[in-house]
Amino acid sequence: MDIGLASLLANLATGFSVAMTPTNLGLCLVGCLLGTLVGVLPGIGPTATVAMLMPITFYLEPTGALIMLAGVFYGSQYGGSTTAILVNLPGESSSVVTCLDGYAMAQRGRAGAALAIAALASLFAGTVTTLAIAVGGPAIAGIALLFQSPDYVAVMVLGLVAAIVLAHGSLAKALAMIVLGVFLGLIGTDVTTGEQRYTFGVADLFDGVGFVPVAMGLFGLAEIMLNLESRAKEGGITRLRDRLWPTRADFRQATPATIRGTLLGIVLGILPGGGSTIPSFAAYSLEKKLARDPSRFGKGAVEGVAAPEAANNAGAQAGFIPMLALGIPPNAIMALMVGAMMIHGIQPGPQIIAKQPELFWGLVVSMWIGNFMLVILNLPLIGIWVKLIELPYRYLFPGIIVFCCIGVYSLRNSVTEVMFMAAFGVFGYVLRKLDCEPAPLLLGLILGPLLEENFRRSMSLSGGDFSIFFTRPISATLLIGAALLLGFVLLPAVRRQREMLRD
Amino acid sequence: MLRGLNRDSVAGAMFIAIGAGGLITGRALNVGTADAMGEGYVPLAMCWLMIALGALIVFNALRAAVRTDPTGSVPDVTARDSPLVVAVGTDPEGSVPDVEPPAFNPRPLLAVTIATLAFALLLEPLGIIVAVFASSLCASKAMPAVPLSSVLLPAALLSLAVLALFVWGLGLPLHALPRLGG
Repeated sequence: MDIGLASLLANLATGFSVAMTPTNLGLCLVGCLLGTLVGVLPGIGPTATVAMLMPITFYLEPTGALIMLAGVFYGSQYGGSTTAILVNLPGESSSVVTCLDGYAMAQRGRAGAALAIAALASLFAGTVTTLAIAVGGPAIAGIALLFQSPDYVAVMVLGLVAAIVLAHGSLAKALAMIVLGVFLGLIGTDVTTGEQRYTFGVADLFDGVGFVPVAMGLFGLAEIMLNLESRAKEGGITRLRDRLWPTRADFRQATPATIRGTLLGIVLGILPGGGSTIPSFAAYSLEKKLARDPSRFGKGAVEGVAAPEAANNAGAQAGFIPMLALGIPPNAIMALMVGAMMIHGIQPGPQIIAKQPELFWGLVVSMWIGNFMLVILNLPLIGIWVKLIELPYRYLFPGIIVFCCIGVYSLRNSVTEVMFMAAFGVFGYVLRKLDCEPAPLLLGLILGPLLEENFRRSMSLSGGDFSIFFTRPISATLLIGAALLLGFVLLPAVRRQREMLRD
Repeated sequence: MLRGLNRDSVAGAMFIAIGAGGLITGRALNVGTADAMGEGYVPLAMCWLMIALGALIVFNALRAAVRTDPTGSVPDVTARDSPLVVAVGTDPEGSVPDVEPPAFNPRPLLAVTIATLAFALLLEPLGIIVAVFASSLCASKAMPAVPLSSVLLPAALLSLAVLALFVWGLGLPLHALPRLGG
């Protein structure tokens, strides 16, 4: 695959022609708007929103669908910071860290500067990460074309191990959730033998447990239940008193923090289990450790806003790299996007970049355009978003429930699926109460069938010999990497730190 | 013995139960051999894995319960349960927005679930307007002490909004009104 500069420019040109069509621009705007909205409102996140939009993507072109869904995801990173800074209420878990210094800045009358820094840092991160996708994506896909079945198994194992390792909380529980997810993913008709597995004669299960009802139940309904239970104390809404623009000193301090946050975000976002929350926390910790005067943090340090904001945007977008280049989603929301592609009959994998260049490059360019749209949406239009937070949750959540129901129903015109969603809502609630993270389950659910198919093929290739995973160089390297990662996390010193963080 | 009954041990027991359930209900599945896997090979392997992991989780939980100071109580529900708090990578004394720990309250769980089931059961026989209206009434039960009158109007508005958006706007094949005579 040609990765020279000339071909990069040619590809970007293709991307522009795709992204700039009125439909795709419109979808990008809708995605960014919805994303910002969802990011501003606590209690509903991008994962649940993407799950709810799945049925609508049926009626759209695949490129347009992905553009819109991507907009929701990185848009929510922008929106979350707005409420974090103004009201000390993080709309997203990735904005929790922004509350610390962002709200502090707001309380000193510097809300405008904080918002601008957050938006600009996000824009920088978004642009750089888009470039990373444009260059890195095809490169990784090129390597991935050499993959055969055992290598796919190995990369998925590495991915799942990394997902548990990077997650907080009990390793055993996260692993058990993945296994449960894989198991659920295998329910249905076995493609190879044609036999039924765990369907108990229920016709709606013949095609497997749909990931949309599961996702909406686990993330949407369960989240609503938990929100209704708890009440968060939010700070008073700060008025925008000062000028919107940061000072030169702010820029000087924020710039290196932004760069570091972006790089950290890209690295952590590519790794499975990434996403945007972990990078934002990691970036904040890094800045605090590197600062000459760490006591400034928590009182309005600009780096405390710039770094996490850059990291969460970079992390969100970087998740597209393994998804597009390998067809392997690093986290739950990317798994949903893979699902969206499958709904349109597109089989994700390294061949996508070569076989569907308009999809890949169109998406890449629209991400860049989307970031600009978001800066415009978030800076001048802030007043509107702030008004929205004042909308009582009590009017909002019945609507969300109803939208989830309609969405699930319209997929297969099946009320049984809606009932599945209800069941998974209860299950999701139980899981949270038992301190089990639902995201690994969704990952397992989506990867399960892929994993089994490749595992089976590897075994029939090798004639039942398990050593095939270690005799192939790519697969052996990846599995050794997974083992090292697992070993590292099981080390006593690391264990103690993790346990400390848990409590 | 009751001290061992904490979140982790229940979680572990749950995994063991699911795994065992899978093994029992799936015993008729053909396992096959490694080079010619039947449909049961991987699913049953997953069940065994769940049992093993569940046992490990229970073991760790019981061990931790024994190590806990008998006078100190480890609260079963902490601020960590709040969906807004994520404890990763911060320094231990890092401050997070102040959140009240939620008590276990069955209302939201029941209200949301019943609202969803109401929609599912009422949609086909009675049409979308009734289904949405009923569903949002059930949902509003999640919040205590809300007078019925203040709930009826938003529910009605929601039904109309849904009708406008999904049936007229997007053209989804949903029946608006009850189907008379089935």
